[in-house]
Amino acid sequence: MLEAFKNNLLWMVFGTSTCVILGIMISVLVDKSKFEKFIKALIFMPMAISFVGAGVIWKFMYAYKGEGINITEIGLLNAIVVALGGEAQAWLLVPFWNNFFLIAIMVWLQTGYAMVIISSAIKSIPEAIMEAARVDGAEDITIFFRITIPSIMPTIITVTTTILIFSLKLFDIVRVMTGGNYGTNVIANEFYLRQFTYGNSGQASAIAIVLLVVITPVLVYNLREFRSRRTLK
Amino acid sequence: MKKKKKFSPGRLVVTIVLVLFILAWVVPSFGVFVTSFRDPADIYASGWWSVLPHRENVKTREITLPDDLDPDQPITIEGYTASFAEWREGIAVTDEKTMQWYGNKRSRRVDVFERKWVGFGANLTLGNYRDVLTGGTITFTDATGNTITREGNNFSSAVMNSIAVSVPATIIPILIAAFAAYAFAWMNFPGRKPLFVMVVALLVVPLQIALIPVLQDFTRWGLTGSFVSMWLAHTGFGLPLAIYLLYNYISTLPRDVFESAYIDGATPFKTFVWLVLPMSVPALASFAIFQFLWVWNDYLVALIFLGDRHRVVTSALASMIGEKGQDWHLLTSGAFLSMLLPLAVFFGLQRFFVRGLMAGSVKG
Repeated sequence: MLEAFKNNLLWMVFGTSTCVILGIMISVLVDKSKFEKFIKALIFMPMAISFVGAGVIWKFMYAYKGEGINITEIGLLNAIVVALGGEAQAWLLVPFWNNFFLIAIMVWLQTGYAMVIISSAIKSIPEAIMEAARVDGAEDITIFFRITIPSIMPTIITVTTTILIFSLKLFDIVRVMTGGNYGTNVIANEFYLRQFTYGNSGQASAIAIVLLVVITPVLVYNLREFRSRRTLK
Repeated sequence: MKKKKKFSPGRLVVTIVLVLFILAWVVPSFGVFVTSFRDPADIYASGWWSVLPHRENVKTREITLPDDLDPDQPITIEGYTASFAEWREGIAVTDEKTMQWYGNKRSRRVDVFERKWVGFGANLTLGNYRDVLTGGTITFTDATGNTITREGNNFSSAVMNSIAVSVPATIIPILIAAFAAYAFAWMNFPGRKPLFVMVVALLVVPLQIALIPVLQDFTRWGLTGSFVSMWLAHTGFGLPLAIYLLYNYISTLPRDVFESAYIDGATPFKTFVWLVLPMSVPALASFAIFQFLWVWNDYLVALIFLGDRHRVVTSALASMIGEKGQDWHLLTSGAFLSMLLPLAVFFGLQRFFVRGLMAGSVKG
């Protein structure tokens, strides 16, 4: 159980930050490029794929044939490692690091979401501000850290909380890839195991409540936002 | 302001980084796509990238040596002389051509290999799709030539089940949510505000909270394993977001419309059907796509409420991963089948989907 919590922390910290940072990076790099639409569509595409489908895609990437002479690895990752002179690995069995190989799948799936939302926020920054900064002689890097990032901070926070909640509840990837074995268990899978494998509804419910408690601050924040906007007249 | 496009190290780095991103995002799916069309035996023998055009030593012909040739003496073949051991190793007679003795000394056969461009769609088949769609037994040959028999996964019925689950599970919440959003936006009734606060609060509540009690109720009513249970469950889990999205849209419709309708004597129901629904088509479409993709791709709810009786594509695929983890020809074609419809919806209606995402999508 403790292991599941620790792993979820990895998912939430590394998964979320990678998604958001890559999302910002891609939207800035691709901004005003000739192929912007095309590139964004490609990065966004995994949003349409189920986690189970992504599981197959990445299980194939990580495929490992085993030991022996003259084995041609059919998994792309192992083939690259072998071509670079390394040794093929059973990636999903490597203790501790296998969590990161699973997190990579979530990053692959969710970066598109972060990118789309952040990119539209960047586009809504008034061109005049950028122009003024350029006239004052600011470099691209300065503009990025002093103008772009502060202007889109609210969006970054929204995207971060969304992906945080998402990684807290993450179930399918772990269920399909490792079943929570080899030290990759997460809370949502533990919930499933307690309820359906061990038949202990009480413990499963307790886990569900823990999830609710962890999410409560976001819930309260949402309600406050909602009140302050007074959308309901 | 116009920027002059000229070569700079910065631009080069940006391009390289972008190309790496694109590769990382496209290559994994592309690999599965290619593999799903390859012959099962080929899949185990070589990586899917060998389908791409590349240069490889290809056997072009065989030379049969005369019976009176003594393999223990230096052997001359087509003007090249070497010992048996050297021939056995293979001799690169030119940059493009290699000759190699096949088997032991008695075989008296030399194979000629030439470097050639290969892999323009070599040996592709639709057989994997046929195999994965069927519910009967399937046989295929693996890399070492063994014939393997497997129980089919009946993916065709899984696709039908997924449609049977997704379509109603998309339409029902939209109908309910459109009514609710209209009422929240334009009608006054007791409890309007607290009810809407509940909707907003429920947006982020993880569905695990509701799973166990709902499952117990469904079991009591004998609903588990039926499509109805899926429709109800997805309707419930989808409603908060649906109401919230549609409310955001419907509440911004111009007030004049409702007033003139009221003056003309339209009832709220008529106003809803003849004015609100047609005017909110973009919002309805956004949510419909969002919900459809969500239900189609959902695994947890299907696993718990449907079980194995009517497998949807995600659970069929997941059980395939469990049972046939190494049968890549079945896994890849199954995975691609499961993505076909969502990808079509996604690329066809991307605009609406993005709008739905923007409007707030912290779905539980």
